Amino acid sequence: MIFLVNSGCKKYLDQKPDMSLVIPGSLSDLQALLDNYRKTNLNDPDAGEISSDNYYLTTADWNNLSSDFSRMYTWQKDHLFTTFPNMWSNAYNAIYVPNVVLDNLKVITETVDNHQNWDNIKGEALFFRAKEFHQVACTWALAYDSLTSKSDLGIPLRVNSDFNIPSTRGNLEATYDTIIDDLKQSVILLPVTPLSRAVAF
Amino acid sequence: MKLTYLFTSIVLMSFSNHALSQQFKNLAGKLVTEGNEPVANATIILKSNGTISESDKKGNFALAFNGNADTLIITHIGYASMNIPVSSSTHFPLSIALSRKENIMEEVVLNTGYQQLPKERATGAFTQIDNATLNQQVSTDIISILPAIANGLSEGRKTNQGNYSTSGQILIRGLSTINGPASPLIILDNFPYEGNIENINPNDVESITLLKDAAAASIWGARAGNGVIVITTKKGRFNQKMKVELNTNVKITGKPDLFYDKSISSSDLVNVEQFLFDQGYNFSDTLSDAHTPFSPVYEILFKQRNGIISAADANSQLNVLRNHDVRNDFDKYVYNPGAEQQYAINLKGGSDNMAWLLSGGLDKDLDVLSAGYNRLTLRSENSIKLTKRLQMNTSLYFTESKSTSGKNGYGSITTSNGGLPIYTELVNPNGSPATLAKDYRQSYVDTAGEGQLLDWNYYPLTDYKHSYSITDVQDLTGNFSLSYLIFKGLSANMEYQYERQVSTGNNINDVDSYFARNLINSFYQPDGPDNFPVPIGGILDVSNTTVTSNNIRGQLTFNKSWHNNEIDAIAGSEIKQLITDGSSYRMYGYNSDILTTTPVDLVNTYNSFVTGYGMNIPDNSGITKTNNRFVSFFGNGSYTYQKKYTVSISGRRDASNIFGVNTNDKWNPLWSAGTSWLLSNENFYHFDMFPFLKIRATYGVSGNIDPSLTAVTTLSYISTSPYTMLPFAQVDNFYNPDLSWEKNRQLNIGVDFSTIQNRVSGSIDYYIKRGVDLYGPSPLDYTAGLGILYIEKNAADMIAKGMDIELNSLNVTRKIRWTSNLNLSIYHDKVTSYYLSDTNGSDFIGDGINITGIVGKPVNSVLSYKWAGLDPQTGAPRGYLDGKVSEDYNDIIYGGTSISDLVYSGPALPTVFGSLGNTVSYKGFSLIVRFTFKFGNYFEKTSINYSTLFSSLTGSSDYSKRWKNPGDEKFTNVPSMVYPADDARDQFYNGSEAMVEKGDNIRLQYITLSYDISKERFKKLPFTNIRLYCNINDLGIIWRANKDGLDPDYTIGSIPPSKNIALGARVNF
Repeated sequence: MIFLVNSGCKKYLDQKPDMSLVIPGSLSDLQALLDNYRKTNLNDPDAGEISSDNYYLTTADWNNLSSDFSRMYTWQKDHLFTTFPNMWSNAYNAIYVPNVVLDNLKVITETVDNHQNWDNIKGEALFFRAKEFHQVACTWALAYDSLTSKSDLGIPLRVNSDFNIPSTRGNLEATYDTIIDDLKQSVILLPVTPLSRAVAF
Repeated sequence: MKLTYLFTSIVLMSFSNHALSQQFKNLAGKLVTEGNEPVANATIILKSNGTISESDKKGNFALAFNGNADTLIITHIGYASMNIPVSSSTHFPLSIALSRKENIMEEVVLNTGYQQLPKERATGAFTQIDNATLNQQVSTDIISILPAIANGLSEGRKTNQGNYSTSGQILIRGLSTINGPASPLIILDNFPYEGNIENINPNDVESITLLKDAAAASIWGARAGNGVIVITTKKGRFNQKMKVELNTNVKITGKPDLFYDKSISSSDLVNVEQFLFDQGYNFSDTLSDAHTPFSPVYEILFKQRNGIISAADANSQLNVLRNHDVRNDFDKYVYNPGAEQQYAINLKGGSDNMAWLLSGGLDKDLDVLSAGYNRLTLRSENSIKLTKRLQMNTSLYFTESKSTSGKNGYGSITTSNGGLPIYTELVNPNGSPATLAKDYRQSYVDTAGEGQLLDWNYYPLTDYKHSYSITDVQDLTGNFSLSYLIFKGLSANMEYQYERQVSTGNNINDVDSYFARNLINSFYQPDGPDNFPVPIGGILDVSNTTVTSNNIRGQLTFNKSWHNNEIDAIAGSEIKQLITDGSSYRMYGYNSDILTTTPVDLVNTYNSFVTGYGMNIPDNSGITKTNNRFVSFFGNGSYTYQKKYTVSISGRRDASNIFGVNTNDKWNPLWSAGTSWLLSNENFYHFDMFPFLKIRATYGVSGNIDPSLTAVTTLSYISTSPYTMLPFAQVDNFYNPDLSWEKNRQLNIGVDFSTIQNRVSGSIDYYIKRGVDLYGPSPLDYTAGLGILYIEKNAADMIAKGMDIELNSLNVTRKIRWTSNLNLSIYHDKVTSYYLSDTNGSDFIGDGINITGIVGKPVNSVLSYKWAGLDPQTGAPRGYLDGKVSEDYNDIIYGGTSISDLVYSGPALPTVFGSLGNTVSYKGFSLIVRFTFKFGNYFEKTSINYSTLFSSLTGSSDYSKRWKNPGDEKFTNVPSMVYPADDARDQFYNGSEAMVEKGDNIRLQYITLSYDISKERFKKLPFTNIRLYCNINDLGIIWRANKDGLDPDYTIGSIPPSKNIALGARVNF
């Protein structure tokens, strides 16, 4: 009896507890997550642009800005992200999506039939993650300098969707290694013409 | 003993037959119970010469007897000792009925749902409630009778989980959780009962066992953290004559005391409205698109102002209202005494290899609002010894019930402005049902649609006839088990249980109901093409829920005793699946006579006839399905040496599809260990006061789960991307591999004792519960990327300490017998770790209904704003801001008060509670009086809120005690009325220290009087026993700490249950 239960146990417990929930199980579910342009494309931080000298404001216009933005414009050190969600959380929200996709892709077997799709999804996810890491690194980390990159602080690198794992901050070298690594992998996987039209936009 | 007996009888018999046959004759007799069952192993002593005999299996005994007047002394471990005078004129054989000793701990066999455990070998904290105690109250359901009689069990009406449901929230040893479900696990015989607990007929219940500490409950693993209630049903026994029991009773419930609700008086309300009218309050509503209704007082005043009626007429009309109280109307026209009828029959018997039981029950209840509940229960149970080693048990339990809604009671009728003004008339002077301007002004309702519409009036008195619901519930629980005796002591058991409960709810609003007429009229399209897109007809809402559970259990049971050793052990595994299916839909144009419906257009919008805004015809369809699966392994063993020392250990491991994978993968069992020592059996024990003394200690961990939390990533499709025309999705639930059950670690130290002849017996248990890994909000790292600030995790901790004391005493044991039973519990809990997402004081004000979650304070704390009395000049309430007296209510409420600035009064749950029962019996009469008590809790009363009073025309009678003139502040805390009302001022006052009251109270819970007529006394009786009984329940509070006459369990808008009287008869054949 005990042995019988043990062997069948794993499969028996894979049943989802609430039927209205879709557990991302198919490639099309994962593609749909990546196609959510609001998350993947519209979450890039603009703090860099706000703080830049690409434009200028009159004092009156500056006074009309919310306090976060007005402080960013004048390069204040703190109280820049007082509301939630904000640029910092949104950027990592955009990183969470490809992480969920990559985690769930691990349990979908690549076959001859789905091989093209499977590679494409993995490639897209890696690309999106690299792109967002790069955006975060450009905004909140020092510019890359090969002489000091091993001692300069990088950005928190989340490569997994488990939020129980605490974030750590490595050096800048590791940040750019991850970005380049993700991109290199994605280049091999992505087809010459995009399969999902979302990516093209 | 046996040998001695045999030897003695042989010797004695030879004596009587030969040498002394003239003087000696054989004294023979039979010992039976009051139920005419044989009593074996009783000792019979002849007083004069000490001759000893023992009764055999059939209860027979024999002694040599010389015919001189003498006395037989009969003693038995489980029965009261008896002295029977005998002489030469006594007729032999004697038939002696023994009465069971009360409070014999050794006799109790505990049912944990997995095994039958003799209480003497138990190490854990158990409470056993026997059939006699259960029968002291008359009730349709089994759970509602427990709070008055069960040790350590309380009924919290004011916890976050319980809301204000009439049945309350049953708690064993208080809370073990903060945010998770707090209900104990309910086991029917051997498996959790997944249907409505109302399905179980109390007449089918033999006994109830509460598993309170870890050693008792942890065998139930991840669902045992809140304690376990094991309901054991009546069973047939092998070798038993057929027995029939009939029980019938009628229970009458009195009308509720509506005047318990402290409402503003009609006269005061009319004055307030006149004042508001003079201020022009709400005049803008006359232009409202929605045709918002005005109260009757306003309508009179409008008529007067527009010159339609004279001032004198207006005044006389207002005076009629001043002298009218709607509660009198409700009492006269709506409420009636409730009546409950109960019929139950129970047949059982058994032969050498078969035991059986059949029972049936019928309940017909009609409550004070004429809401009905009819229930039929049928049960069959069979045990068959297929071979010497193989036994088969089958049982079927079928319940069918039908609930119908009743009339609209006081407090349930509302208008679009809020409540029902207290002066409302339900009946016109000519006796016809009055109308109430519910959603629109009467003038609009009378003229709208130029005669094309259905009658748009609302009749509060009669609408229930057209708007009602019927709920049918069917439950079938089937159980099949095989047990095989492998060798003496070891048996294997395989058990399967299937349960299916189907509930169908029909909510019917026929064409004459206000709901249907209002919806049809609102959708009226004067210009067509279809004038009535909501067809003229009834509206039927149907909801179906099916709960299906499957359980399979395999178990090995080992019991062995040799020399001084005894072992009881079980081990096994089980699989459980629980599926809940639900669906609901609505049908329009419903005609119940010919069963037709009409399809409607749910897609297009229609302009509302009232406001002109576009709206959709409401749809009401949905579908749900959940599937929870569990796989468990369990084991439990105890070893007793010399009947004095016992050690026990139990372990259980649960895996489920609702836990995270890390939890399922880890070998992380829930366990317990315990020990007990029967001190009084030691040779060195010479404490004669307590001939029985046992010490117990246990420690263990059990769990608690919330099936609504999910550990897997789930997504939902949002819409189609405007760029790609492809559907895209977002993540809804987040992968949480660490999500687990809450853990409840409990230490229990207890002592069981009894004095000589059980004059006083009982138990005292001290426990410390530590709830760890409780569900609670946990702040999230932004970089986790979830886009939310905190997530429900196993993140909170609490601690609870308490004592459960049970005392039973035999005060008088002569012809008049007086016994007492005291259940006393002490309970304190405290949050030890909790993440508070904000510390703004106003979020923690309240009645302790919400979880406060403040570290160091009870889970449900009563907190309030510091009170500085009324302003002597203006009568305005005053609080504190930054330590200074302030009337800046907005600042006090919004941000100016942090948690540490609040006044903490105490817990919302009682810290001392329990019950005291006294039984006096004389001959066949028995009188039981039971009190229940709660101490140490606090509650917040409600007072006048001027904002609500103005907008919804309902309020507290404190209005009459308000501050009017300087000096009033000396004897009232009720602030002055200001116009316009200041919502923050009202909120501050109603959340202030002045509102907090002590909840201490003592209730007279029930009185039961019964009279037994038995065949033993009246030989000509056609049955063994008949008991006539009368149970008066809910007699109300006899002492309370608060001076306002409030029942702390029924404060906000609820009315305490009224007295009920049940009369019945129980017949045994």
